[in-house]
Amino acid sequence: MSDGISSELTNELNDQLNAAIELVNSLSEKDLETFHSEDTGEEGPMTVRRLLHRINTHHKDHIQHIIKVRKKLGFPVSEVETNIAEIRASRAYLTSIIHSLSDENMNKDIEEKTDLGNLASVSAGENRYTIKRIVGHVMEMTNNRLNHIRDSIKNK
Amino acid sequence: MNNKSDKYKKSLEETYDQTTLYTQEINDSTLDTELSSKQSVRTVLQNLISEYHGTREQLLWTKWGQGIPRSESRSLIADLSAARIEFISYFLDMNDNQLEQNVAPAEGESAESLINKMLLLEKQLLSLLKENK
Repeated sequence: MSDGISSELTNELNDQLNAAIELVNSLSEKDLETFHSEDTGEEGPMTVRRLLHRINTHHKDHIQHIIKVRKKLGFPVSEVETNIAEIRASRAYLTSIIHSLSDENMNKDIEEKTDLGNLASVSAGENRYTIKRIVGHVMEMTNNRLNHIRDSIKNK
Repeated sequence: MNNKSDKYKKSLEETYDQTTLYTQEINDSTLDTELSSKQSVRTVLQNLISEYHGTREQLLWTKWGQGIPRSESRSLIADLSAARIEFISYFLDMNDNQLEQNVAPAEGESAESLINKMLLLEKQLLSLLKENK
């Protein structure tokens, strides 16, 4: 449940994120080396790579800033909020690294024919070990754990 | 019997210490330096970090496959070690004069006072854990 300002800011942050993703998605690996300026106070020139890096580190700086301020003001970040942030970050990483994959690549057999963690190399219905199956496995295990949480709360 | 684990920990730490002699010389302007492997310093560092992350998962699966739990405590202690190393890494390149400067954007604190604050918190953790022993 979010109040007016936080809800408005969240929407603005999401819009900005979407615009950032659109821009960054259009970059090639080579573009990362492109020179922007001889920025002062930096070791070496400011490149596209470094500008992207600064966006990340600046977020980290001020995430810690807000965490500190919330503690000081008497409404510290809870463990539940931290968990949500970590799950969101993991899910964002996951979706980012599969987003650009074609169906062909999603379904490509990795052909290792070995088990990976608790993901068997060959399933009953699908004799293939693919990225699609790995993602499906993450979703299935997440669902299992969410159901266990629901059960635990219901039975407490 | 944890003989092998202890031995490997020591080997990794010794190698890490030797590498640190070189990594502490790296700065942003040398990240693009090409090495004899034809990769940049940045790429070899990124590759090793990525290998650590991937191999860490595989290592955890060697435990999972033997019924050894993933362990919340190991994960927390690892996060704490990473936080400590990151903190130390950010002040290692500061000289004595830079460490002593009180700086406005840091709420008027000096790096030295912040290091002492963390030292105090580490000592508090140590005595709390000792009490609980």
